[in-house]
Amino acid sequence: MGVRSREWSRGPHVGVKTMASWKAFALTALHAAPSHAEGAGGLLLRSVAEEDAGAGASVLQGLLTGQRRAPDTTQVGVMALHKARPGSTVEIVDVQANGDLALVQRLMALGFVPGTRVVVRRRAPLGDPTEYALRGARISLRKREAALVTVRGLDG
Amino acid sequence: MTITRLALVGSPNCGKTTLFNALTGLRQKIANYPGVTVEHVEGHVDLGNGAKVALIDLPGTYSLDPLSPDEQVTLDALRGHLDGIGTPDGVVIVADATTLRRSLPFVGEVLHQRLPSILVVTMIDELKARGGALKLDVLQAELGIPVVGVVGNRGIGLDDLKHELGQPGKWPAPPDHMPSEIVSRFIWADAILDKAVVPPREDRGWTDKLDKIVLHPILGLNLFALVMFLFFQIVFVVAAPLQDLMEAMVVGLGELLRTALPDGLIESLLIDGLFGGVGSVVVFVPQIALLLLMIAFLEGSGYMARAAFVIDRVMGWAGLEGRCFIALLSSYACAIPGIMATRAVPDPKSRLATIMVAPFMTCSARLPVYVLFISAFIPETRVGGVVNLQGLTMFGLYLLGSVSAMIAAVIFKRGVLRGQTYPFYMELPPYRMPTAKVVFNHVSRGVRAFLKKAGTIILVASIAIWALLHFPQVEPPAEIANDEAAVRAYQIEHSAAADIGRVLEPAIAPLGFDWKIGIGLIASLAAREVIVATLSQIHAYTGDEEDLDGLGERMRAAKRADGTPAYPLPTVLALLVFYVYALQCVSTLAVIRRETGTWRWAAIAFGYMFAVAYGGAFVTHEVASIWL
Repeated sequence: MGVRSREWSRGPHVGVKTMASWKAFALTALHAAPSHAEGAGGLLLRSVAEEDAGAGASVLQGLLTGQRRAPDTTQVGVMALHKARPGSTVEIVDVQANGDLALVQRLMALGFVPGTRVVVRRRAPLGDPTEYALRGARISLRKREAALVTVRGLDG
Repeated sequence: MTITRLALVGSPNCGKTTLFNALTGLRQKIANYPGVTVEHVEGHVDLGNGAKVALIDLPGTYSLDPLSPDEQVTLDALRGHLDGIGTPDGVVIVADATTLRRSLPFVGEVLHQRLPSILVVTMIDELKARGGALKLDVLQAELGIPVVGVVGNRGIGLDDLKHELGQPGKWPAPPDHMPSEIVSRFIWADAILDKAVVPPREDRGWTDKLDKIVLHPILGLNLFALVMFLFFQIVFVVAAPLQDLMEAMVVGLGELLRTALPDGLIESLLIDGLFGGVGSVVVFVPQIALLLLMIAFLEGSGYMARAAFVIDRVMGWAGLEGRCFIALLSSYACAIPGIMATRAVPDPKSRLATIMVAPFMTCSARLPVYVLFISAFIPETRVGGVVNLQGLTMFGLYLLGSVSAMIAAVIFKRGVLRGQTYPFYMELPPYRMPTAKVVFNHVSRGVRAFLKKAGTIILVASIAIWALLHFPQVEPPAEIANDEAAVRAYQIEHSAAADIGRVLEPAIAPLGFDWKIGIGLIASLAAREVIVATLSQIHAYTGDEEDLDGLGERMRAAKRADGTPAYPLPTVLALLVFYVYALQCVSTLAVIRRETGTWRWAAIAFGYMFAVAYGGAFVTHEVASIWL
């Protein structure tokens, strides 16, 4: 429980910083549920984790309705993308980068948005980077960048 | 009347330049890795009815929040901030049919700019080959802008596209309810694609099969080493006979000219200066063409991006990234495109570090120098029965340059250019067989650039060298007046070049160089090949020998005043090492100045590379003198 609550206390804080560009989103959420607006990042994490369909639409739904529950990273299969084993399929839950907004934006532009399915294809011969298949493209990321993407395992 | 200007935008490697070339008839560089186009290029599209529109090819970008200098160009173009080009009259958005789920949100981002737009979907053939399908009419209805499907490299769909390009005024304005935020853009795009696209199989067929080998933990690294190694064996083994043929032709032509012209200074200028100087460099065209051909295959097939993927960890240790590696590999052709390619690198410090080491990568201008000295002085024996020692030496020189570039990059990146690590991401495209046209354009572009250099910098330098070798004119002593070779040697020994060379000699004697090499070194500050032109004039074919032996033969036979060989092996090796390192290329210096915005970095590059060249040559000469 200790780990969990620490995660939660960090989650919204980081979320507010990294999601600063999500002003439009946060404002929408603010309208829907004024007291919950600070947790955009955490909201994404949880809303996707709790919806089995996990499509982007459900993320939006989660944001708009402002449902809120502590994100549960101890939940089976939720991890940082760089920990996902080659050959496995995962689904993106959240993208956060300690205030580096441009980096979050770029990872998202590359297709790493919540709800997206990612197949972990292979590590490079020297262990880094790793090749990921998503949205019809093959993108390779170093561990450092992949660590910013939170995913949930889909195949066991 | 001002011409209609349309801008081409899209994700990297989605086929913009292929489309641009197909529409404009221009021959801009195309290759199969992200980030080939790094600056804007304008061309005209003939619409067939006499009307024309201007098309601006722009660097690819994943979003309109630029991270690297090349992406900034694209944003500036759309905003009308590029010099001499206002806001475009329309935007031609290009998207790869196989990755629409990734690129359609970017289309939405561009539409948000509210410029008249049209979507061109490329690689429709690859989509079909992987079992996918695209309903263009549904896509068009959903997006609210015209949509055209094309296969750029085969010209399919171009007529429809030209028809649309002729009337940007009629393109409906982009819908004004475009989502303004990135996640909602993906949701918007996914909803459209659910209706318009039958997704292709995730499996990429033989690309995936090939990648199992190319990116295999053990096989992959070995294959990389093998590819690099074969590269240089081929340059040596295959192209050498062609070069002999070229050389025989040049010498033969010179002889024809010699019999046709009256003796005198004009004859000497034409035959020694032109044929001896420029001709001695032009004979290396086969090798350069072959080198470019192999680079074109590596770049066009998609292997380049794989090599960057395989080697990225090493680059990461150096504080650089895979894209820097692609820029360095491009420098095998010439440092100038290599330095230009760094525009795709987001981190300014990594970019600068790459620029500062790129000239260590062995460019095609060194090829004539290496080939001349290696073929003349390194025995053509087989190591272990198969590997050509000459090819191996060449490989060694390339390896020395590449490893030194890496080490220099580490020193720069961990020293004066230390900074935060920028994010690395790279797309691995499917393997594609480069079309004959693309390969041909790549090779001919490089060969033309080489010939242009031969006709300008090298020509001027050759004439200057000729003048320095022939003036002041001296009267030979009577006892040798009938021996043409001796008269020549006497003239050269008493020329202005000799005076300059002898002043220089004390400085280069520790490297085992005499004043003749010294003159070559000075002359090749303009361009590396000039040393070949210089030595060719010094060891000119006098017309007396029976057979038309090559320059290498004449250099091997050359003797110093004390009767020892003019080019002992330690001297040759020291010279080769000197050429691995020294930045003797005014064009590269000018490009470094332009890309860094200051002469300071150009001066630093020249200075430190000269120091390394001198030190390396000195150590080589000392060690070789002891061991050989």
